[in-house]
This record gives sequence, structure tokens and C-alpha cells, in this order.
Amino acid sequence: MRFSILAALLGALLPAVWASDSPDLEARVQQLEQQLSAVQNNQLAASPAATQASASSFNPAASLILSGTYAEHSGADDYSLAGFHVGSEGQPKSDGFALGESELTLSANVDDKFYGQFTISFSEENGETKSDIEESYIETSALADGLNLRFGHFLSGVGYLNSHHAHTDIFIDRPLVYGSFFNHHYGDDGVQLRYVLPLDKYLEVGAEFFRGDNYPAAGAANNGRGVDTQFIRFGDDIGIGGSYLLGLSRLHARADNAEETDSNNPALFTGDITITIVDATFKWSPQGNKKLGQFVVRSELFAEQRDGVLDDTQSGGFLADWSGKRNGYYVEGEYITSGGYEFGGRWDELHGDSKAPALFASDYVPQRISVMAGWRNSEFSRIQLQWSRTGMNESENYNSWLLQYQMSLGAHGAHKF
Amino acid sequence: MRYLSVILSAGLLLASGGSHALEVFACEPEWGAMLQEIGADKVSVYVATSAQQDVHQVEARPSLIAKMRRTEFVVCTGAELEVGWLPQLTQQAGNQLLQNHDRLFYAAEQVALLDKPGQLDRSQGDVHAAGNPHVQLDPQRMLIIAQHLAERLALVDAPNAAFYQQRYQQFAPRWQEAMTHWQQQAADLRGKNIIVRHDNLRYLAEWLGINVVAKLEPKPGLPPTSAHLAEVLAIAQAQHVYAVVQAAYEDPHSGEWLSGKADIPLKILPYTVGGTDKANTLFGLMDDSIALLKQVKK
Repeated sequence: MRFSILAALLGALLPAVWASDSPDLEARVQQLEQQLSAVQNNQLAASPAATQASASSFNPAASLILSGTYAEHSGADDYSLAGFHVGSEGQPKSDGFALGESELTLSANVDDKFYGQFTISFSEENGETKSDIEESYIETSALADGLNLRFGHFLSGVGYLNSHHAHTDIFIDRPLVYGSFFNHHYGDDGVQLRYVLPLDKYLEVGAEFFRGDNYPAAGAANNGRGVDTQFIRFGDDIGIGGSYLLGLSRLHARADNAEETDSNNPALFTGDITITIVDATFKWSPQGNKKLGQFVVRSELFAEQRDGVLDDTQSGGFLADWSGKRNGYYVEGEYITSGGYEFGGRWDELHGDSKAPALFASDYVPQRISVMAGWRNSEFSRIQLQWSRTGMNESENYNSWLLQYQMSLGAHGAHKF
Repeated sequence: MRYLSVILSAGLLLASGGSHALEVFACEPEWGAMLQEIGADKVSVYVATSAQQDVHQVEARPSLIAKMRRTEFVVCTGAELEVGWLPQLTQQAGNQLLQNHDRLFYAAEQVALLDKPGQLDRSQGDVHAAGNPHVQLDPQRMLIIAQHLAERLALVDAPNAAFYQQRYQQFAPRWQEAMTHWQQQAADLRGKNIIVRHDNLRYLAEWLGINVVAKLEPKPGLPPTSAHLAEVLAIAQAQHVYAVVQAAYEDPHSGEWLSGKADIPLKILPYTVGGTDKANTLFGLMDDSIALLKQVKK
């Protein structure tokens, strides 16, 4: 309304301006022009409604990951790796059709100082629904600049894949080192302190204390402070399109009757386990533009040192010292095209200890090759086909074809590098 | 002799009161350019992305965390444009200064946005709930944003408040004069039809009165499919389309295909500061965008 009045005024005034070039009229025209642009600006300025939060904006961001697999295995009947225990989470996917984990994550700021995140995964095993609290933690950076404190139940910050939710992995299953040294991932109740140094380049140091209930620890030894970790991360860019992240971590666990076999009367390890991990990740995109394509290559090296006793007496075996070293590594890479097609390859290797107790003594090197092809229609949906061949022991191989879908609903998840 | 000069310069630094430029983290080059106009040497700006990158998808990589760690002020578009990476950076960096939200300036929050979606549904592609965030190509909105940026800088860096206000007072008339000039320059583009790849040229088209008759993406954020491109080709052949226009960071293949098939020119616009050689300031960005659009003679 004001706009049209102003326009009419200008229209009425203009002939008067042409008729006379009095400076007084010029000043009035300028004033009107300023008022006109002010009205236009009001139309373009953000209205209070635009920045008002909706009723549900204080509710947590919720995201749901749905996944399922179809698997065909051949070769050996059972899956095992000479010289290593394969945890329940490291076992191959069930033959045929199977619903994978459905993972629900809720997160929100609690108040100006605290942030909370909760992740629960549901899976079905033998007709029973199993729920597993993967993470439930509070985080705050209110202590000091660059300092992050996390407490509750969460994935340890050691290594690279360990603190990432499995649905962000390149491959459908985890590397052999994770399946054997960590039973897929190490997470526990505890506290984590991380500090990002105020430097030009990224350098972060961290330390954790955990209860020590989960593999490789057990029994919440040392009065429920059975695990301590330390880690350091460094990363930078290379040129316009490349970036890398390096990590060095150490996990020290006290095991009090940790189950090292799957039988009803498992062999139990009691003692100290120290695992050192070196990880390196490199990513590259043309001009640093991820939409044009992305290349990722990654490797982690696990070095384990055990010092304790393996008690196999429950199943009629022996009590034996177990002090020695084992290690393993993987190298994986993938390329994602601008159209969302992806191709990847991975090599896994484990080196056992020929001087370990009989159950684990081995000088065979289990190894696995995996290749993958897939399609991502968007950031939220993914379908992939994976083939792998595992050399389990001197005489047996295990081959797998896996087809998996993975879909994400809800809030846009924040992904780490 | 070397020690003497070190001591002298240290002494000079102490004597000057240590004039410290405000450390600023700018998500995109357009805000880096705006900060140069409003902040000049009172700000030290790190720009996180380049005109060759699609800012919808950026890795929250270590170098960005390090920069976020030490910054004192953040300027980004907002409206969920950076939702895939910015929250990860602020979370990991643990920068306490940024807990004061006055130090987080979102350009899209300062102006009314076009195309606010009625329904939020991922079947419609990657939709931004608050509206179209690609505001840097609308000079009117940029002027409002510049004013608010000057006000916010004055609030956060109070000792230099007068400086920022003065810089804005010098910028505004130059910009307004340029706006008149651009409108005159682009007068014969009014009413023309163009085909774009994504919604990112919406505000420029709106301001210049150009019609976007089709988009190469079937839905926002999804790569062009053969089926959809066939439809776009039919649209291009059914009416007079002036040009296929894309941003410098976008994959040109589909645009090149359509340009060849429909026999219409393909124009690559800078989209933001740094996208072409001439688009090295906010003024250059608009100058070159209009010049490139006008170059098309058909």
C-alpha cells in the first residue's frame, strides 16, 4: 500500500521536477528515492517468522539407519581364523536374506553447556530381537578452549574405524583386525578427554578411562577402571584436492576372564592386553569438489601384546601362560564417481603367535581379499555388492557374496572425516 | 645485528598495543569478499571453500577443524547449506568463543528467502527447509546482509565498531550505484529463457527478470538422468531458450550435451567470487556474470 502511494507521489512529482530544476525539489526527490529503497528493503529483510524455531526444534535430531543383506557363502562350513578368536560380531552375515542392524540415533544440545547423543541398534538373532546400546553419552566443551569432555557409554577414540558407526564403512563387514582384536568395535562405559591444540595445523590428543567390561577387556577389573587409552591425531591438506589424517593410539586393557572361544565352556584369558594402532586415511577429490568424485584410501595396523594366563580348564584343557605378540593390518580404498557409482578393494592380514597357548598357536597368516561395487542414489541411500575370499587356515578358504542395502531416514547426520 | 632487529620489532609490536586483526572463518568465498569490503585490514579471513567446490558436500577435514579452533568469528550462509559439515567442525574444534552465538553470522538469516518448501520430503530431493540459500547473486539482499554484517562486527569487535560502520557507509553508495549500472547493462536480458543445472542461480535470474524454464537436475541435488535430460531437451526445442547456464563448480557434461543437441550456447558463470578471473570481488562477480550472460548472441 505504502509502495503504491510512494510510486504515485513520485509519478506526480516527476513532471514538477522536469518543469523546474530547483535544488529544493531535487532534495525531496532524493529523499523519496531513499524512502522507496527502504520500503523495498523491508520487503527483503528477514521477517521474525523466518527465524522462529518450529515447535519441534527443541526435540532431538533423529535419524534411523535401515539395512539388510543377502549372503551366499561357500568353501568351509564354519568361519574361523587360525591363531585368532573371531568374536560374535565378527562372524559372517547369515546365509540368505537377513535383516541387518536397524540403528536409531538421537542427538541434541541439552543446554548451553552440554550435548547428548544416543545410538541404539536393533537386530534379530534366532527369532529374538536384540537391542544394543551402541552409544549414550554427554559431551561438553565448556571446560576450556579446545577441550572436549565426553562421558557415558561410547565408542573409543582409538584407531580410525572404531569411533565411526559401521554404516559409514566402505565395506559391508569390518576388517579382520577389528573382528579379532576388538570384536567389531570397542565401546564401553567411561570418560574421554580430547584436546585440539591451538595450532595452524590440526593436532589433537586424547585419553580415555573405561570400565573394562567389553572385549578385549572383561570383568571390569581394577575396580571398574579396566581400560585406559591414549591417542594422538594429526591431519592436513595436500594441494587443493587432497587431505589426510594420521593417528597413533594405544589401548591398555585388563582382562578378568575374557572369553576367547565360542564354546559353552569358553577358554578365559586373564591378564594385560596392550594394543597399539597406527592409522592413516587419505581422501582426494578433483579441485576438492566431492561432487565431481572422491578417492579414499585407508590403512590401520594393530599390534597386540598379551601378558597373562589362558584358562581352558572348563572344557577339559589346560592353564597356560599367554605372553606374546600378534598383529595385523588392512588396506582399503574406493572411488566414488560423480554419478554416485562406487568401486573398492581391501586386503586383510593377520599374523599370529606360534608360541601362544595351543588353542591360538599358529604360524599361518590368515588373509582376505575383498572387492566391492555399489551405487549411491543420494547421500542417504546405498546399495552395494561385495565379494571376498578368506584364507582361514592352511587347508580352508571361505568365500562370500554379499548384497546389502543401507538407507538413512531423518536428520542429516554429521560425518567425521 | 639479527638479535637487535628481533628485539626492535618485538618492542615495536608491544608499543603499538599489538594491533590484532579479528580472526574470521568464512564458509564461502562470497562472504570472504564481503568481509574484505566491510572489514579491510581489521579482519584476517580464512575461506573454507573455493568457487570450484560444491559447498553442499564438503569433508569436515582436519585443516578446517584447526582453523575453526582458532577463529573468533564465523560467517556462513546457513539455511542448512552447510549442514553436512559445519556442525561437525564446530563440535570437534571445541572453540569456546563460538558458544556466544553473536560470533556465528548466517547470511541467509538476515534476509527473506525465496522458495520456502511447503512440504519437507526427501522424495523431492535435497530441499532446504528455510528456503533457497544461494543469496549471494541478489545485490539487494547482499546490501542488507552487508549492513547486518557491519552491525555484528561492530558488536563483536567493539573497539573497531566505528571503522566497520564507516566501511559500510563507503560500500553502500558504491554498491547502489553499481546496482543501477548492472540493471542498465542487463536490460536486454529481461524476459529471456534459460536452462540451469541447479537452483543456485535463482536469485540472479529473479533480479534480472530472466526466466528459468528447466533444470538439468531431476530433483535438487540429484545428478541428471537420461530420462530427465530427454524431457529438458524437449522443453528446449519447444521454445526459444537463450542459453544453458551453469556455475563454475558444476559438472559441465550434461550442460554440454544439451547445448549441442538443442543448439543453444552453454555459459559458465562464476557463481561466487573466484569462479572466473574477473570475478575477484563482489563487484567483479556481478560484472562478470552479466558480461558473460550478455556475450551470448543468438
